[in-house]
Amino acid sequence: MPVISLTVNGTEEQIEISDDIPLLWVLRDRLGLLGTKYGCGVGVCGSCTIHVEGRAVRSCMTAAAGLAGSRVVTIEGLASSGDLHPLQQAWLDEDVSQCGFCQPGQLMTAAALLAENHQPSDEDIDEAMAEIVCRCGTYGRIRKAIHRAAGSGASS
Amino acid sequence: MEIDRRGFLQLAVMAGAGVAFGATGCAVLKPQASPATAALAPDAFLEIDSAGQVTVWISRQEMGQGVRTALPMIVAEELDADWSAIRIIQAPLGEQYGAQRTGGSLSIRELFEPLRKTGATARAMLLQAAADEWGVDVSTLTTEKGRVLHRESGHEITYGALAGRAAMLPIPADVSLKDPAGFRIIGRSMPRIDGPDIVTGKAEFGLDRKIPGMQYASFERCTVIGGRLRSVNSDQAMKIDGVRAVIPIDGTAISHIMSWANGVAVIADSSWAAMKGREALDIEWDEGGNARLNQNEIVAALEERAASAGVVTRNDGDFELTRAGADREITSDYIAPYLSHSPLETMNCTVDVRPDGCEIWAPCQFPNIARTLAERITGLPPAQVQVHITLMGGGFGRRIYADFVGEAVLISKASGSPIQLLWSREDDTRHGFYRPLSHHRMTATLRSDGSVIGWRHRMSGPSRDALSGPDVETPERSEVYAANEFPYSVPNVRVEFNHHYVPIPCGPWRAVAYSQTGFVVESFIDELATASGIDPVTFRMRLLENGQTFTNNETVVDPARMSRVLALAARESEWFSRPLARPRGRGVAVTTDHGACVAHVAEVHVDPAGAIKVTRFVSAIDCGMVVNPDTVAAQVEGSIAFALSATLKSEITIEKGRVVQSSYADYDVIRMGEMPAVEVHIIPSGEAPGGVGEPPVPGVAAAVVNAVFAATGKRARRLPVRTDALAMH
Repeated sequence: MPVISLTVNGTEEQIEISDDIPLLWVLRDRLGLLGTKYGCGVGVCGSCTIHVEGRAVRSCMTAAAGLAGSRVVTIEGLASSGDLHPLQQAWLDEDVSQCGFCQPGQLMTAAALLAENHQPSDEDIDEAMAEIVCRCGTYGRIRKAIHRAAGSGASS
Repeated sequence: MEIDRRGFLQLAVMAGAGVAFGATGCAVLKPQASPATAALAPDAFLEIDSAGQVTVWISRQEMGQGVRTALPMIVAEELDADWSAIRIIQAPLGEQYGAQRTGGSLSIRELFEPLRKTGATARAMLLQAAADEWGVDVSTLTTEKGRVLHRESGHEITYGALAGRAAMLPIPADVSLKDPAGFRIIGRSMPRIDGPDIVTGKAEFGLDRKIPGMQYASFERCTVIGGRLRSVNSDQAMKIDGVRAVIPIDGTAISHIMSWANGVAVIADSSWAAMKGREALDIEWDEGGNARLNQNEIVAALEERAASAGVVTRNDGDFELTRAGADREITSDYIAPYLSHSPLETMNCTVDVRPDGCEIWAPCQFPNIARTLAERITGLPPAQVQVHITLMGGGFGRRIYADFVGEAVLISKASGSPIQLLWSREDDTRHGFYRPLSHHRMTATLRSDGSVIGWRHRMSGPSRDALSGPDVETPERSEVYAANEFPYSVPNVRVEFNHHYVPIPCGPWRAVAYSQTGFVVESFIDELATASGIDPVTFRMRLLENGQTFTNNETVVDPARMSRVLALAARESEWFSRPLARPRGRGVAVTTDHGACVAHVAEVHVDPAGAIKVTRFVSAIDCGMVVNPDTVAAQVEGSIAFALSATLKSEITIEKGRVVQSSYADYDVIRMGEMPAVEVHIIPSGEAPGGVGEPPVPGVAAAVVNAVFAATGKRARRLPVRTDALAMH
């Protein structure tokens, strides 16, 4: 089986992979990174969202084989050296979570949005976050938390 | 929760160790206990150790409704603990914790008083211990954030320093509880305890559990209900790298909640290999007679049933007699579809079945059902079956039936290995316990002044009680109680139920029978208001103002309480003071269930193409005394999102005996851009706490449908609302 090298949360990993294994299962079953969730496996819920080269990507629909040499960041790597990412802090300040299952995917999607767009409007947020399902209905608080982290102070 | 404290000895345990309670209520003493290391534990729910660490055991399971935060708040309040230092442990299934079934919006309702007593008892013992230590009277002492204080002298001592001495005291049978006016924790919006773990990805859900030697299982079932495995060729599956075994499974005889449990399990060394192995199976199914079942025929059968009188379940006065003298008679038919729960975390269970014991980790709402199934399958006695309950990625009632636990136990037993069974999203959508499809023929008789003299609600459809088959004695029992609780003051009220058996498994969906009944009753009442030319809020107020409070089973229907939430929602939404012009519109609904009353005012905008945008919800709730206000608001927001999905977007349909839908692709739910702004107004109350997880659900659909009517003049009587199917009024 081929071995590929990719960097996950700053650590270089050598991983033996079969042809089509999605990155999601490499993260969960091989590397023990359980924060990234399985919600649907067909790319329609967003619970598996991580960053590849800084962009939000559905790990359930991304073959690990194609990622040789890439930098991957998961929810476990969002905080840097002990400090929460501003979004994580905003999530706590707004008490966003209910069951919490989708929130890693929400946070990773929001982080990619803010990295590209420092002051997203409500429409920008709607568009970027449309892909991520929250069955508990925390959308209003997610929007508030994104605005809070962006520092705009605006709320919908 | 009933805990008999007579016969309890004081407890002395090693710090951090759990406490075992035998059947007589006597504590099991640890051999090396000594006063210096002893901890105070007045019951199974609370321990204060010699370092002052306060630990609360949580006996209801978390699915986002906030019990892991609210329940310890109750204990901490009466204990006067330092909230920031509280530690919680999720209680495994155990007699000492009382009822652990989580659902029915019951957790705080059932545990509020008992947990207050828990905290107050420990506080009383700590006060006595301090009084003994200082040689003063208890009345001269106060407590604050984990310390006892003697104001006069300025002496202070921590709970930790007192724990050992307090543990030697007899446990008082009666303790006084705080005056709610003095609450410092209850009534405040404490942040969710699991928040930090959730946002850093550390929170452990069912599918995150790993146990030594664990293998992974994926289970292929017939998509036709009642279909059975005829043959399987596993040659290709066994060639898949990582696949270890292929095992036919049949659990359908174990329990009528395991009617989906027939098929083939693939065991592998990873989740992915198990899924791949399953795809490579070559299976022949005996689909059985249900393969002829189709949605259109089911609906047609219900429409036919609606023509005849059903079993009468409420009969005030004589509805038939009102028809002759009525100025107006209105009939409307409503249909509420099958609905799936579709939580983000699919069904899963991790199990280790050994000859001498069975250990289960499951995201499940009713761990007692999990254990019963395991006992039946393994033949082990209850004492040898351990159930640990994980966080749940949503529950909504789906995780009550522990069918997925039964399957995992079967597979672990057959494979001889600990396994984690993970359902795919397709499995989860297609092998559910759906909210039953129902038909409602609503008829009302009115006078020309708008007074309603007769109301008949004829409901037809399958029954949740018929999981075991068509020969169920009282199928109406599970379906019609909400309709029986019609709250409005009408002298002649008749409720009927026609049972039509459909083999599709049904189960409790958030708010259960109130969800479809709320839609139907609050829509039809609106139709009556329109026909009478009376404002919908005014119409309801008139019908509530002379209403009698009554009780059905344990539900109290209090029209005065409903009037108050309705008035609050109307005022806050500026219902009368700032009317909306088409194509915008407002709709109202007021409902009561699970110990609470909720009124919703929905605002919508409908564009020329008929696309509906729900822009705002103004919601008022009376749920008695509130433990955590922010959680109440969150449950209202979440209920709105949950119910909006059913109102506007998705339904489960049946073709050839199969559920058609497979994932959020074709059973879609509300997304970010579709979520309205929500304003929640909580009525301050000193009454006993009511439920919150379900009460905001039932009125959502009607509020939206009524708003769409106000905006367009078109009324939807089937959900989800399809703009092309709106009937011309």
